[in-house]
Amino acid sequence: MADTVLEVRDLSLEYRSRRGPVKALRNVSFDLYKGETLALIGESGCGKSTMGFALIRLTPGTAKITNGNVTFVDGPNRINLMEMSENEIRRFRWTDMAMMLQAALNAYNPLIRIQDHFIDTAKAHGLNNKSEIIARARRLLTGVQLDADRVLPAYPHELSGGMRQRVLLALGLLMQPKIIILDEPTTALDILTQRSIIELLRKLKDEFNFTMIFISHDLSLAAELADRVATMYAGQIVELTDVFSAFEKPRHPYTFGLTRAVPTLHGAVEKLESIPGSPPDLVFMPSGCKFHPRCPFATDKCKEVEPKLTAYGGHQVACHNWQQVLEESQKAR
Amino acid sequence: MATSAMLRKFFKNYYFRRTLKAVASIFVVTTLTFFLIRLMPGNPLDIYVNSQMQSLGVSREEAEAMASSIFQVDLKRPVLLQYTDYVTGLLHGDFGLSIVSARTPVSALILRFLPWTMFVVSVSLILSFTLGILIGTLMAYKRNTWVDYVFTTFSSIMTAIPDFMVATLIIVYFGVQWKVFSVTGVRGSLSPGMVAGFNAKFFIDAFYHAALPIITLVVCNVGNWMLQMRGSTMATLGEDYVMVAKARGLSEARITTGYVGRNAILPLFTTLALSIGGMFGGSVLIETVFTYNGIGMKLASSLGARDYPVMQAIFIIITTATVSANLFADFLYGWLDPRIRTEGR
Repeated sequence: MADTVLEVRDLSLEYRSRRGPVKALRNVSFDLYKGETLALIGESGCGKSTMGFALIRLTPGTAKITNGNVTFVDGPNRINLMEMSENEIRRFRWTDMAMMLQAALNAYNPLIRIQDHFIDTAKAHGLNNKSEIIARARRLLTGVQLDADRVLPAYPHELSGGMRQRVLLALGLLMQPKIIILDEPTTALDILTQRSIIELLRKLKDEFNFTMIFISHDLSLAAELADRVATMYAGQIVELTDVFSAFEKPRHPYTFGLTRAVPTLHGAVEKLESIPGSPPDLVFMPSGCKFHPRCPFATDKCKEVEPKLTAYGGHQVACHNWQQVLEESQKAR
Repeated sequence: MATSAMLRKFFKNYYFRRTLKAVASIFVVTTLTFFLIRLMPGNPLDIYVNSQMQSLGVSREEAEAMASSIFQVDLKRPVLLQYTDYVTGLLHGDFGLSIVSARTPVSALILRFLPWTMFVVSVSLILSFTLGILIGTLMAYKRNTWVDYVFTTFSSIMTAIPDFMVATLIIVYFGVQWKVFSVTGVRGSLSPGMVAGFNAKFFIDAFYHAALPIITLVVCNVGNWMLQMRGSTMATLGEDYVMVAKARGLSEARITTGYVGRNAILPLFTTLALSIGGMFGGSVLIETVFTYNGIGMKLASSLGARDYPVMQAIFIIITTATVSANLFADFLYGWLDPRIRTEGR
């Protein structure tokens, strides 16, 4: 097994709301291996994006991390993010772990030039030589196939959506982070631009050797880029396995449902099925397994006992009836 | 050929067209006020005659004879001709003569009174804007804490109370009841015998006399700025680029000033420009309450005496202040916000 770069243990996060605490993350644990690409998939509102934030200890709005640890492993050093001071975690962000937000279109301060975004970022991490920063930005921008001379002095609104996404990638690589988290890297882009971003990501990964987590609801993107896939439901990881097993031998009914909701090239159109119902309310959650109200495999046990994420030969799943699901999924192929 | 193309380009220029519009609006307002003030009941002659009859006990004929020897303006002349005379004078930079203070050019009166108003208005505007921006940002960062609640309550109350009420209350309580300052001493814009000059004594005296109007204006206006800045900052704090800036590891100071503050202040500049004109107009009541010798008080007295040329000139000044402040705000906005800049080109 490859080296671990990030260990997440029992990570829990809550948003404050009038109705009570919104449990957006509930005891999430997983390891991230060096050099891999992990896809986090799930419906909107299942806690995917929140997880991205929580991994760099950034809490949007009223959110608060209530429990758990995130440990960054750098060679012999193990650093617990939860024990870092404000200034340490600030420095850690972007130098060791860069989290790139969903909204690449609105990721830039509209009043300053692109080059100032590079300079601001570099300065925040102790780089003060302006010409060196610009030279580095120039190399990175060329690397993401942009014309640096045109992009650097431009204001954000003067760039197209695809260009902004590329600039964000270049900006993300500025401090050469070991881990990159991409939140919906291709959403809001047209299909051709999506394609070129995916190819670019592959190329950059070969070149810079970073570990990547990407968060998406787009299963085809996950199938294409990921080494492993983590399915999230109701603030938890319910299945974590390699990309082949996730799509061909799913053991969690939710992953199974997701894969059946995506059209394939060789599949018949009528085979497409959606998952009935909607994601659970994260304030008042169902008892037992949070998926049971929507699950065709649900039994009485599911209503009472919440299954734990358990490994069965490298394939982690949180389901009482995973064997049945696996059988069913094999029949469906 | 080349010159005509250049001329066309010049006329299409955003700044040129915007300035032209500004000049046009000043002209329209000047024209309207010229006729409007002459529609007010009574004219300078009647008012003068009446006051002479009352104070000196002379007959109407005698009073009218006295008036005609003093007043040089022929009020019987058709209004349209008066208007063309006035505009012609104006184009030569001549505001005419005051009717009441005979033989005094209006421009001399303006030069005497305007600087004081400008002094008070600009100082209180800068003070209230700066304070409002700072406190408003603090409120947004501390939203839903007691700091926010205290300031929100304060600013709502202060925005609701009219400024002349605050001015009166200050005089009644601080001046008369508690005797914090001498009510007669602070009157006027300078102490008697004080000569204008570039020395500390003069500045201290000027500030001493301007302090009450400035305090009133700041107290009454700062609440508005605070609330606006609070709202604007809170909206900006929710922007994605602020979150991205945090993820980029920028320092809190850099995010607050360069990312949140700069973006949040932008919409306030338009209001700032509008309020400059408003404060010139509003100085009428404040200056009258504090008997501060600015154009506001001059406007009030010339209104009473129906001193048309003086009123007219003051209206032109208020209009020009408003319009040029707006013009300035537009240009400044374009300079501050790159998105507007390209559209304006």
